[in-house]
Amino acid sequence: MTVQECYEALGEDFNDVLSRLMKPELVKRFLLKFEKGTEFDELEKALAEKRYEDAFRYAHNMKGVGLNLGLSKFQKSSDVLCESLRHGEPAVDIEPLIEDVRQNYRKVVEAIGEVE
Amino acid sequence: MQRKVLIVDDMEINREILTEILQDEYSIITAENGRQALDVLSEFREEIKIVLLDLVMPEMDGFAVLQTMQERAMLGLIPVLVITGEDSVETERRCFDYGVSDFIKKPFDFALVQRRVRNVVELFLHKNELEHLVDVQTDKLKAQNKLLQEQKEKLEQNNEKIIEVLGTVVEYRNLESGMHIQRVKSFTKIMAEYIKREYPEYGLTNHQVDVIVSASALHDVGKICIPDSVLLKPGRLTAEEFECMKSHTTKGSEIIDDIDDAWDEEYMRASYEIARHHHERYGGKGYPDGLAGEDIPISAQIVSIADVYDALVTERVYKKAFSKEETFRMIMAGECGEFSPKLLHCFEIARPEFEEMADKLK
Repeated sequence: MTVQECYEALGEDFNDVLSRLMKPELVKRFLLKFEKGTEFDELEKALAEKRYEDAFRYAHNMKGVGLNLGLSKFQKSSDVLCESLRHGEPAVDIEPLIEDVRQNYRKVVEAIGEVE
Repeated sequence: MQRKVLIVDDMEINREILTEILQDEYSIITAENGRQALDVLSEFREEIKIVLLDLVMPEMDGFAVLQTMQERAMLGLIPVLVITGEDSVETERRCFDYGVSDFIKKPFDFALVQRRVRNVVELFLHKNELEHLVDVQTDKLKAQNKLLQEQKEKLEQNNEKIIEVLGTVVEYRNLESGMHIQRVKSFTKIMAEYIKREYPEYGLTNHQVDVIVSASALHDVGKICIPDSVLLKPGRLTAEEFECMKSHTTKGSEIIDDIDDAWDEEYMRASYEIARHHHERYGGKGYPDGLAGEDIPISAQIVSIADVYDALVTERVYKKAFSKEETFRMIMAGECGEFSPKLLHCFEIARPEFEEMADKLK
């Protein structure tokens, strides 16, 4: 699977990312970097340990990477989670929000895994 | 040496993307949090031409970095672009309040980031260069100003010197007036201070008072042109001799006119006025020009009363000294000289100082 096909499989706009980052090989490089990164695991860990300040920061980072790599679904779900953590311990049940991010993250990672 | 850019972001991918965008033009240094950023800034303060700064970071966040940069007076010299993923007006305002130059918004756009960084770096290089030029110019101006001040002081000393030399010549020539010049100067000082204080309409400044006091030493400079037979005659002068004696006023002003370029206009004018007009009378019956009222320059009016006071209160070859009380009465009554009401008012309130000075300089 090419990088472009990867974006198509995720229902994302490859041309938009390409227009910003200029070179397909750069898009690919950063996608692979994201896949290998440990930030999402850190997010899960912080949430499990109720370190909400750290969790906010990781969610914030997920949102940022999602924006930069044009992974809009993942970015949007991260954004919602991030906002629920902005002021420390959330007032509502955030498990559904976490699950949403998790799902999107898995889809992204799976798709990247098939890029050659 | 390549210009350095400091990229501060806790997310490795972000640092890499920005490095990729900027590495052709700049030498890149990266930091993972605020603390590292400040260490780098301390080490490469002169070389870093711009900071790209994330706000949300562990250890020390972006706002703490801005705060420290502000405290260390770095923000005016090193531009900061804040990396942000959200459109929060409040955050932007807070950043601008710190003096942040602009923002780099996610998602990063290769061309936009390149342009924005380039613009701000160029702007600051230009600004810093201009500020440096202004500093250099200011230093130069200060040095020139100091030189001017020194020259001004020198000129002032020069003016005083000319007056002193001329005054001494008169003293030697006019045997009876050994201390006369010194006393006239002292009485002039007292009167001038009162006129300055009581009658601001004359617009006397401290400096002008000093000039008048100095110039008063030359009031009789014309006497060096009067023959000994007249100048030093112990008895009464004939009408013809008196006319000759009166000419010391015009002769004095001519001498001062001749000095012309060698001294300050202000000193020259005061000296001229005093030498020529210190025998004018308020009613217009004095000499040499018969000036009346306020047509008589205030400098000459002041020196005139000082001169008359001294003539009365001290012994001369042709007269005995009058007592201080009698001297005061004669001047107030217009029996010797004729002065303006303003001058007489000042003389009246200055009486104790006049008498004290008369005793002191006897």
